Amino acid sequence: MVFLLIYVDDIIITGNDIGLITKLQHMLHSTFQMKDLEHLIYFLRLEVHFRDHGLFLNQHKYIQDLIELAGLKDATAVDTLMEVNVKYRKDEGEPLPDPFLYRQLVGSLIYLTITRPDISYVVHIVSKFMQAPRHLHLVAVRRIIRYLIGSPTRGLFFPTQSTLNLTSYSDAD
Amino acid sequence: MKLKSDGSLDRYKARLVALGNKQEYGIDYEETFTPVAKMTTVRTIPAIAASKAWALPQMDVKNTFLHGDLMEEIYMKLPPGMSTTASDEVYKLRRFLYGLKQAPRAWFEKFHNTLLTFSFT
Repeated sequence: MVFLLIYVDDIIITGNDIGLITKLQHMLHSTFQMKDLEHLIYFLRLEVHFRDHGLFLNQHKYIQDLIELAGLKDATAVDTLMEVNVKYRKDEGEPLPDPFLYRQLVGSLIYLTITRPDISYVVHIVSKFMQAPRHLHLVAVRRIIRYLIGSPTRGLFFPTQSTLNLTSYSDAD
Repeated sequence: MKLKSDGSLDRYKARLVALGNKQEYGIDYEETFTPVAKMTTVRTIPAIAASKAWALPQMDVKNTFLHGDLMEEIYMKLPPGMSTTASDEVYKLRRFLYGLKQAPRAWFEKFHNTLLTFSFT
């Protein structure tokens, strides 16, 4: 059994039959020009690290670029993602003259939730204001990014010793 | 320009591209949709590989969008400086170029069909 995942030109292969994987790689090589890597290390800005007891996925580089984009390179880290007891409203504060950066930052935060489920809730909150972001909303976004400054390498660990069982379902109308 | 790690010049790179924005639907292209993997699936594959201790090689395709088989009859003007011939000449494309609207779709189709010819089932 072999799994092949393709995202335009990037391919990941895995499966329980190493001989079959090698054969598939050779066949692909004989058809297209390809670059080969023994291990998955970087895929769609996800970093994959092989550890003794499993695989570690993070988006360290992506977070660093995001901090830079937000202009927060020299900012200090904060320990929490959001201020307590604050309710964000869509009509509070001055509208941003140009919503572009806000949308770009929140879009990046959404992409970051792939390996950072811990920020999912606050990203959901700030993403509600994409249509007409205001200064107070941008303050909240900047705080999330300052939280990331304190935990830029955090990610997901998938241990080798796990009882994970893959079950798939499909449906067609 | 491609630079070496020390910052010195490695080689020059150039690519002839087609202006997809000048293509007309029904004449120069038909369907353009092409599927990509969902990020949750991308994350699932390493998760399974880890739990089963499977190998996890990565490959990437060079010049991806040049691989597709061109079905449409498409003509293009060459960019200035590329040809010494008269400026009203157009050239018929025999292969895909980057920039064509249907290039990603044609690549996926080609890849899909290629996998089927491997007859792995």
